[in-house]
Amino acid sequence: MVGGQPRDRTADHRPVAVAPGARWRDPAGRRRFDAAGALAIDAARIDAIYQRPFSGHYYIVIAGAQRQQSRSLWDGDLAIEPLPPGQWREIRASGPQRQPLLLRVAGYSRQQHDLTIAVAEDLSALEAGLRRFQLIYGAVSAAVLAALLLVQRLIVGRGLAPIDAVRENLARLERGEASCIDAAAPAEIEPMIVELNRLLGTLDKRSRRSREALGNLAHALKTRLAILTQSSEAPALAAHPALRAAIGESTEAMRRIVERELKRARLAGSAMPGQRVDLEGEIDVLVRTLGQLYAGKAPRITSAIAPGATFAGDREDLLELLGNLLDNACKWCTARVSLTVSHADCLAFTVEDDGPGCATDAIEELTARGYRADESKPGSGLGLAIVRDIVDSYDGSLQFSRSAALGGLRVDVRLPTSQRANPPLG
Amino acid sequence: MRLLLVEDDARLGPQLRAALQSAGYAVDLSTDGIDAEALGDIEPYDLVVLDLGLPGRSGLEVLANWRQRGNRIPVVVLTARGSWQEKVEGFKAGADDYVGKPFQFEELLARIDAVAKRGQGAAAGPLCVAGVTLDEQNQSLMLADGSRSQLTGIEYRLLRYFMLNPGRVLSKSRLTEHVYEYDADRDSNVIEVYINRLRQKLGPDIIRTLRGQGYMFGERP
Repeated sequence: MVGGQPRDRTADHRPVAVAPGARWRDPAGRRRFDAAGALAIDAARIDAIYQRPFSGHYYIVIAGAQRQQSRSLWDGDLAIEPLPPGQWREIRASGPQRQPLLLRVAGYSRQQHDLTIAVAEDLSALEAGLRRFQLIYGAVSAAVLAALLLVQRLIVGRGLAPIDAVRENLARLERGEASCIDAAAPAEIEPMIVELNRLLGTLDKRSRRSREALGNLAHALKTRLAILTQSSEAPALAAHPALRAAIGESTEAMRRIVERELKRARLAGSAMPGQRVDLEGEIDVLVRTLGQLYAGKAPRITSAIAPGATFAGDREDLLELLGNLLDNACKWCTARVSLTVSHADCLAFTVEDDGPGCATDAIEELTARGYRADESKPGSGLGLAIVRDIVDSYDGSLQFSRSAALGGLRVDVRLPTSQRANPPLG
Repeated sequence: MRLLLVEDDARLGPQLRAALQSAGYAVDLSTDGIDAEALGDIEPYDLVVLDLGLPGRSGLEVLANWRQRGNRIPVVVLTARGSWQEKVEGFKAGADDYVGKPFQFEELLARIDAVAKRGQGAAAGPLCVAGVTLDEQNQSLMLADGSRSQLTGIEYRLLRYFMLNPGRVLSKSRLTEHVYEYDADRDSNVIEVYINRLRQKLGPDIIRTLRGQGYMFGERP
């Protein structure tokens, strides 16, 4: 295809007499040496293309000292070295008007004269065609490459779509919106998901069973303790106050152990995934419960919950945490208790009351095991210790200070929200 | 005042009943959920002390069933299930108060007293009606002139019931129901004897007899 082009073009200029394909030989074949040995070229038989200046077709004939060149070369020249007969060479050179030329130089021997004939043809048309071809070829290649990349991306995307669904499911599991992975997965990872679901189920079942067992144990122990307490209050023991006190002390100590240790063992902590708590609903119910527990005192309990705040953890743990905090506040308040829930980088609960507060040096001891900052009010002193256990099991922080708004004790609980971010796929 | 105590523990139940009786309550003991539910519907109790872990039917279920049928009887839940979740569920089912085991008897008594008074619409604290003050700790009464007299068990129950329902006509049978236990030998004529004894301690005019209807403590409100 490429080679055909120049040939077609020359057909325009070629006189009818000249046979096709003979163009290279034209100048050489129509050459005669006259009697004086001077080189003569039959102008009539020379192609017209060699007559037009800078036509792009040139020749130079060198015979000894004689040198003849085509009219088309005009006043330009081509640097040609004579060649011995039988040798030839093809060179690329720059012609008149800086045309890129393909130069064929060949040595001949005719009528006992050594001849060197150089024929040149302008390659710019050919090169332009070549360039155009390269351009088109490049563009087509780029388009095909882009299409291939697109197809590849689609294939990869389609191939990974089920995994993406699984990943999304895992994220929902962690946020507590789902309790198992229900996305369909490719056969390669299906067994892994089945196993994961089985583990989740087992974990859930086991934690529920252990909670139940602990609950039953606590129930049984506490009922026996109640009997013991009741027995120690029997009138028959009135004459032995020391005995009564000893029994009372022991049962109280046992009660504390049962309460604290079994409650701690029941904590689910943040390890259990797939849980989510309706904060607003639970707090509402809890506030009503406290209202009834403290019906005689009737404290005004206000709660403010930042919209969108969620607790990804165990419901029972949350109730235990807030129940103990609010219970403590209600116990000590004069008339008002406030609960604020906010969430920024972590979930924060703030409980304040308008009670007497707590001396600074006693604040740190508040959560010590069964410590009671003031023995004047009934209570086990366990509530805040249990709060400490819950906060620790969620890797949170617990802080006591004086409430600026209400004047009493202020308790700040900060629980980290899930830190495990989900990096986007691919 | 008459109480229904629902407690399945064979030791704690009778112990608690004895303690409550000596605190001046007529107490019926039930050890099973189904029985307790029926008793609570049939008998005119003033208050129920309810355990949650019961054979037959759980305490929460019993309580929810009562509330569903519109039985508003005051209920103090007494249970070893002390988690906040269980407390929340107890109140959701319709409990009026919640006491965890083990408990100090004084605390239980104070809670029962507060709930009973709330149920009767009386103010918390010592009962004081028509110049008569009832000392619930010592089961004695004090008159406006400062004179005190001791009360026997039935006298105390009767006077407290009167004082929780001042200005209301109370029939003899109603008084019997609220002063005696279920299995007691209820002779309503004995009530007359006790009322006469109360009149000797209170003065003749505070408890009036309304012929054919019953008795009334204090003035009509």
